[in-house]
Amino acid sequence: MKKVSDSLKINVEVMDQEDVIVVRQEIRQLMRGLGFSLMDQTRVVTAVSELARNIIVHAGQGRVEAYQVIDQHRIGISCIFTDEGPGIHDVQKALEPGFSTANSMGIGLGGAKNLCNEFDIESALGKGTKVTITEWLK
Amino acid sequence: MSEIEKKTAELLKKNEKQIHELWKTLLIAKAKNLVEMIGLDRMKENTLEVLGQFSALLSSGTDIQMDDYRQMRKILGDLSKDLTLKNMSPSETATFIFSLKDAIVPVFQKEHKDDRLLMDYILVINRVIDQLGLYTFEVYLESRESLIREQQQAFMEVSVPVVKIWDRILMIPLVGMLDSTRTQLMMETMLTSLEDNQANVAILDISGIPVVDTLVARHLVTAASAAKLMGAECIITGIRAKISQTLVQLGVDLSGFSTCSTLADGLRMALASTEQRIG
Amino acid sequence: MNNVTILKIGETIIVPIQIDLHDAAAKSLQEDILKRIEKYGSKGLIIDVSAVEIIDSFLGRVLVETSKMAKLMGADTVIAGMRKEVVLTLLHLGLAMGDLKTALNIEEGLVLLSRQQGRNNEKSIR
Repeated sequence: MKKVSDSLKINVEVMDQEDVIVVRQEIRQLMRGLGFSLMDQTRVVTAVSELARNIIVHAGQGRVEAYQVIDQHRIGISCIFTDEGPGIHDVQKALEPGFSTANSMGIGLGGAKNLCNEFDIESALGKGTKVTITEWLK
Repeated sequence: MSEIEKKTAELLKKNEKQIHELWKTLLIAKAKNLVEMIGLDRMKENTLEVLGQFSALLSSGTDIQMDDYRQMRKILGDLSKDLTLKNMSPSETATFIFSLKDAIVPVFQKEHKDDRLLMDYILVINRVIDQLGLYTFEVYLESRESLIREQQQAFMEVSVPVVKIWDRILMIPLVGMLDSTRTQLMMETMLTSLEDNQANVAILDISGIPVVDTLVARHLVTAASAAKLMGAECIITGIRAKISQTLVQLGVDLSGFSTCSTLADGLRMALASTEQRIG
Repeated sequence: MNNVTILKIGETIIVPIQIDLHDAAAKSLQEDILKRIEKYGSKGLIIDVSAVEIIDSFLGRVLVETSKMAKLMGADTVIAGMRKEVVLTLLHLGLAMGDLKTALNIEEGLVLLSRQQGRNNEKSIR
């Protein structure tokens, strides 16, 4: 089971594109502090960028949290993206490569999923979406 | 704590010196290799230590997973690890602890042949020694596995050489299987070298790849695209007849990259595109 | 408005991106670049991304699009100096970058453009 450490924490309300940039920079900072390589930072922060954009595009606003996680023998970082938007009709389909709703210009959730170690999504129509990604320090 | 175990411990304690002598003799006679590997002095020390622990621990229980057995597990674990690294077989390794049975049983028999509980004592001894033997086997497996992991890692690192073959031209000979881990490593090494050397051309030589399937082809395209995105040209060389057939039959599109069959031709192309000449 | 400098050297426009661009900024940069090409009748465009730490799907697509749009206006585009971390991430992301022309740095980009223009001139003479 993953344990959450309170020592390092990010909690940002995302309302516009400027906030996406803030989230990217703060998560990069957190990862650098934890000792992630530049390669890992770039990969994960790109996923963060995609997922934070999804919040703006589909729900208008939401929240991004990030913190250090620890399990038996490794440490990592988890980022949680929550919104109270329309939710996703067919999560399985939304994860397929190349799936993207009109005019969002994203590469969809599938692309973001490819960029991190663990990817978890919960979505309820009319209630909102919660995406959690985790990256472990190697 | 059962009476039998306590009694066994007492018997062991009482005959410790005699058992120790016999155990050493047995090891030297029956497991010469083992003793050579451990060294005579360490063998004497370890046998004494194990025996001491053994008689002390028996009275607190016979389950070797208990905390009390930690020191015992450590002695045997260290020994087993050492022997693994010295390429001893697991049965040779286990001989160390199993031969203790052969040392205990005759001593018990001689001293206590009238004791009607003799059989029970021996069963207690057996129970513990069997567990310890299995434990050395587990440690053997673990250290073997970690050895393999280390070797794999080391192999990975040496398996992606990047050769600066000419000014602004890099050559990466790909040998063996190209799986996704190796591709990832290869790409990182290649891109780092391209960046460091500000090289314009990367030659990927696939002469050493035995079989090209869809997956390998996809890795190849990914690697070539990576070089291209960095702003370097990517030339794939070493495409033998068999491989070119396979690539076309699989429908792999390499049209975005320069390809040729020999490394020499590839180098010629690279020199031309960097406007260099030999000599 | 955005804060990216657009340099004009002869028939070429050079755009060194030095800041973190959000989506709207990327879009407006695209517009600025195309207007500049129109104004100067430029034949080449170099976008220097060596200081760009993240190219996500949006920025990636804007780059590909800009290159296609510039081509329609008669200018060849070279993306210069993409970092290796960015390259590997783009490949992970599975974003098709099409036939985007690339160079290790601005200097190499200029060489590539001048060769390309030589070829274009040959074509027009014939």
